[in-house]
Amino acid sequence: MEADSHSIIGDTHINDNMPCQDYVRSLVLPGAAFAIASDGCSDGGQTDNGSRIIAHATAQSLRQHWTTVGDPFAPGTVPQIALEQRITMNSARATLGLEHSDMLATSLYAYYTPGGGIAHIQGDGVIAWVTKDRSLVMDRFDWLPSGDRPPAPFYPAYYEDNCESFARYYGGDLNGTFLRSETWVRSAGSTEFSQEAATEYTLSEGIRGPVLRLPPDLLYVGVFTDGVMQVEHIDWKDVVEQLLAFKTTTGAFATRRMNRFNKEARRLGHGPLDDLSYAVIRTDDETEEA
Amino acid sequence: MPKLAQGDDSGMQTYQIGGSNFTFQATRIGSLGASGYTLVTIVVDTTGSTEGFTDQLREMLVTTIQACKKSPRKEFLLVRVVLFSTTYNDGHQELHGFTRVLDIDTDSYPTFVASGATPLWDATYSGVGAMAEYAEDLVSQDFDVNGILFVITDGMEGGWGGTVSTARPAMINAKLAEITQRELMESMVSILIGINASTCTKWLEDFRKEAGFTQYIDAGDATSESLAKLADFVQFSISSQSQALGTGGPSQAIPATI
Repeated sequence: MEADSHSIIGDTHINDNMPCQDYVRSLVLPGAAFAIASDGCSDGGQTDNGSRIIAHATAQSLRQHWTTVGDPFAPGTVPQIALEQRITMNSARATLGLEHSDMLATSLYAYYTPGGGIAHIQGDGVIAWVTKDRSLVMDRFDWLPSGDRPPAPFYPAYYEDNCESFARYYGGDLNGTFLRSETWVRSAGSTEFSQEAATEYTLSEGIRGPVLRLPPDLLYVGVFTDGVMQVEHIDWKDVVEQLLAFKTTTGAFATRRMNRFNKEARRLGHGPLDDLSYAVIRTDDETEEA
Repeated sequence: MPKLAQGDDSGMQTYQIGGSNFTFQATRIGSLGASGYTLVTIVVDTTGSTEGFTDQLREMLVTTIQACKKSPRKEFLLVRVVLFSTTYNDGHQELHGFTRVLDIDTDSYPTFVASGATPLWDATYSGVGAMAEYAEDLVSQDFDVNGILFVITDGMEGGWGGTVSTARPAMINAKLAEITQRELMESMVSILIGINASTCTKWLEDFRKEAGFTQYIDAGDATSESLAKLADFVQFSISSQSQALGTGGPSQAIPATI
């Protein structure tokens, strides 16, 4: 297996003199691979630091889980990883003198082995995978508005106050449904996407974060920040599909694809408005020939 | 243009240069891992008139490659080295095709033997043409690509009987223009370098213009000191051009003189 990840700063960040607030990581260990993404809140503080810390904390938690447990399907995997992630986040924040507002960033990851794996999301974004027959499955996660107030994705940093302020934002109704996912599929040989499912999650489920079970024998698994939904004039499903259409799959394969996607999109006058980031695991070991 | 073979155990693939019977070798693209590459070509004169400083030319080349191996950009460099003289079939011979600089074994570079007349135009066309072909292939596979070419010579095209090349300066110019027009690379810098060439400076300046080189540089006499400076210049220029990769334009830092 191989993995790669890449981020591109969005136009609004450039125009507002802000740094890229996404951070992605990818990691391969014997028998497992991990794809990690974090998107810092643009209304927060120095969330470029927060997303970086969260991504590294997640990577370390995943590494430790694989080393000590060795099974993504083991009971308690996600809570254990989340707990270790938060311990590392809190320690880093205190050590570096960061504010709570600096840590407001999402957390997405895929934890994959040849026998399958899991993907977990706290916040918003897209999780997608390509099967061996080249079918493409993608799950998009969006938080809904709270009455008149705009959508607010969940951030692991909200655990600092036991998620109370976040819950209050959504009226304190832990059973209310405020997170929605859409599942779209492009079957092998088809050029059309079809929506296979729409799922609603309660507030408490959204706080814990949905977990997707990833089947074995996938070609690629990718986690994407919500920047894929904000590329001018290009539907998010097409963005995901193009970002997973690798020409070669050695080394910095995702970096090359995203850089080329960005150049071609800009040539047509389209650009990513928000930071655009993904981390991808490749499982097929076929060597791509030019 | 087509690849002529699917590659062998060496990890290299053979290509043909359009508009000629010339071929070249390059690392199989499927094995390349960086996000992009600077294609470096160094074409070196080993004709009879280089008698007396071929060892220094080899030393210059080895020094350049060794310096590139220490560059922060070493992971992004693919280097092809070509010697030219009518002694060789097609007037030129690859020491190696486009190879990751870290994989180059300069200990395997043979002793240069000064012999033969000067197929400068063919060697230059091979240099430019190979870069265009390989760049096109790399770009089609999502790699960012820019290039830098050095043609190092002590004299004019030909020998006592006149022109010895099949290629012509206009063909070189057209190939360089094609690289730009078809956007085969982000940028291409081509440098003609005269060494021990004081008697044909005018000719080389004219060749630079006709062929469309970015610049001509007179490296002075073929002394150990000047060739050491040449090695520094080449290595610095490679590093500068490589740092420009991904910016869409050429390096602004390559000096006009050594």
